[in-house]
Amino acid sequence: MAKTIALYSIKGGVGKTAATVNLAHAAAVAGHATLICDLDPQGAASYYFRVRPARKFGRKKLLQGGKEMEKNIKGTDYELLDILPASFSYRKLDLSLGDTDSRKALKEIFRRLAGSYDYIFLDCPPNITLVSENIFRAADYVVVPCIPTTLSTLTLTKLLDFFAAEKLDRNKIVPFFSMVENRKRLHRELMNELSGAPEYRFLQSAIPYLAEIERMGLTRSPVAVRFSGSPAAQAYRELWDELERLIATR
Amino acid sequence: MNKLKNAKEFLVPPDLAPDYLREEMAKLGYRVIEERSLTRKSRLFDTFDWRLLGSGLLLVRGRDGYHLYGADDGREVARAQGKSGGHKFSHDFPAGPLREALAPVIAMRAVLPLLDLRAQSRSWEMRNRDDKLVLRYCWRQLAVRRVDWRSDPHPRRAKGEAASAPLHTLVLEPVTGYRKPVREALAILEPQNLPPVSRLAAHLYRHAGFDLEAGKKAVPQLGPDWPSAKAALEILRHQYRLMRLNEAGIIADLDSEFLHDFRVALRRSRAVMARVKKVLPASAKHFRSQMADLASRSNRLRDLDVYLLQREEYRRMLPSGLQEGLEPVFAVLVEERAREFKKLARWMKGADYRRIMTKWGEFLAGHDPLQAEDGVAAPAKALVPVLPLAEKAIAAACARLLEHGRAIGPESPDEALHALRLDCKKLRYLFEFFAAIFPSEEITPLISRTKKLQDNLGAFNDLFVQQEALRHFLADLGRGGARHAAGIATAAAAIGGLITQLSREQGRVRRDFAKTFKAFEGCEHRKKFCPEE
Repeated sequence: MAKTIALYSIKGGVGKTAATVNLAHAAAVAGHATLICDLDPQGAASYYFRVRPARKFGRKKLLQGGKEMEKNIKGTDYELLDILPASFSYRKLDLSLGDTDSRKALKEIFRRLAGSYDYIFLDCPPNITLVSENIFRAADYVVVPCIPTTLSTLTLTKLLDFFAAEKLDRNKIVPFFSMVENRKRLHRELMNELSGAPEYRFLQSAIPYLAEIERMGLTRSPVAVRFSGSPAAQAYRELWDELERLIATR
Repeated sequence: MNKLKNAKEFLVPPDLAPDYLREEMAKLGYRVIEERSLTRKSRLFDTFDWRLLGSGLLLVRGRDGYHLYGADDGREVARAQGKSGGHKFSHDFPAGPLREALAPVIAMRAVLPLLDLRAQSRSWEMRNRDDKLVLRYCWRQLAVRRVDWRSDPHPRRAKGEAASAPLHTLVLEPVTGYRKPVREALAILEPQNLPPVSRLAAHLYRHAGFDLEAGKKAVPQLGPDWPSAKAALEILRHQYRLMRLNEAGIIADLDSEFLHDFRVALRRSRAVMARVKKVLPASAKHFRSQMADLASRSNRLRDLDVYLLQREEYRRMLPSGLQEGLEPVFAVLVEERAREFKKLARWMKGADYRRIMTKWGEFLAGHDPLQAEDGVAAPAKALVPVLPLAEKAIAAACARLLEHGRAIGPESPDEALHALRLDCKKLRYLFEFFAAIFPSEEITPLISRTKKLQDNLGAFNDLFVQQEALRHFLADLGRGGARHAAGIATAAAAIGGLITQLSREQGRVRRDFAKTFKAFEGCEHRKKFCPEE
């Protein structure tokens, strides 16, 4: 059965999509059948893989699940890695979910795919909405990229509170430091302070702020493909290894 | 997800340029990029009777060790380290997933090196306007050569026959979700009428000259109105082919199944001559005694093979503390087997054996039942149609089996069951010989019923024989096998434990007998073949 890993952040622009693309690619390279579900109406993950959704594909087909949705899964250029591209109509996904009045609709949909893959990565839209709540229930892990700033920490605390209030499993939340700039004193200090804090449980591996990652918008491929020996590729590989170890021990 | 699963492979004539598809696809607006070309060398393995291929598997040794693939989709099932390219049993592979996947399929057989394959491939990527990969295609040149090794048991190719020319294939590897480019490529290829290859491995084996059907234990194809002598000859020829096919593997001592299959064919040949009376000419008589001699020469070797094959099972029957006690027993058996094998192999390589087989072969090939032998009247039933003759022989054998079987009660001596086993075997052979002239829906279930009964009786007999052998061993042990003196006590305990287990098992098998016999007796099809009253 596939493990479902949601990449999520309340805040935008924290390196969430870059993490989805590169972690999923690392999982596929390690020999696991992997699927990315691009749930963010911006469709950045789909863009990175040069994949467009079919014209007829949209939120209705997604919520229908089963064959109608599976027909829209596309192979990426890389072995063992598939993607379900995002549709712009996902911006109204909340409305559709509101109609179904269910907080578990997405969970049911992904469960059907679980037999065909080892890992399913969800690239989630920012904000806390009905969509996010569905995702929290569907995912086995909610991996949260955090820029080491006070505002980022604050949103992480908010997320933890939300989980507590909704009686969701707090252990699902796995934060890691993203877009780290070691020359900034604030980043260094905050990381020092937070990395050992038992209430957050940050992963040890962090993703630095690097030009190769920024350039993904131009190269339109995972960093390990275009810059295989680069520090960025190395950082994602280490992050994936740590995450996989964590999943194996749970 | 798994792109290979949907790959389509076609055989292409050598004159179709690998660039053909590239040019046509480029015209449709795809950007076609050639990737790095690859050359890979590998060696393919299978058992003599193609057990891996039959189970949809392919064992390949490449530069980095052994790989087990699905023969249809090319998916890797397991891999293992290993350097030697010779013949191997499953226990010769390192413990792990490959050995676990291999063992139940090949059982006691050895995998043999068969083909050396040199695959040169050129691949192209086709990309759409977003520069997204939408289809990959690959042109492969496959050069195959039979592995040349001293003990190769497969029939050799005729001398001077040219080595097989390389094959060419074209593989389309679709990308999930991009159906249009595949459709377009298939439309371009359509006028070429390329034959698709579904099982490349089988194709390669045939291309290199292997006969994948040779070892199949298929029933001889007879016609119901054939003259009996013609039918008998056909059955005998079939058995003769099987015997010759297995000779080389016996002499090279590749695995125990060669001798086993050889002996089964031999036994069946003898059964035909014994069961089908007044059909073959008097000149065939002396072959019967020669075959009896041939069988007796290998009896002991086969017994020893069976004991040694059961080594692990015997060990498992004993508590771990006693298992080591069996080792001296097996050490003696291994020594004796080596002696027996040498004796048989020497004889089979000798002139006497070869003369017998040549003469027998010549008789089978040359005898014409319609042509009377000089000065001798044709046997009384040689020209009678085979169907009534087969029906009569079956009815007689079946009546005998029923009569003897019904006489057996819980108090009957073991010998009665041993005798019944032979009755049962005779009947089963008759069914199998003549299977082709009876309706399959009647004969097939009956054969399996008979086989079940024979299995029960066979197991009973085997357990009996094994206990006898162990008792002899125990007696010898007492007579001061000084060599193993230190281990005598443990060996005796182990043998004792084993005899106890085997005898308990024998009791269980005997209790099953009544039920198995009843099932045979009550079988509707059985009543059709031997109406009793």
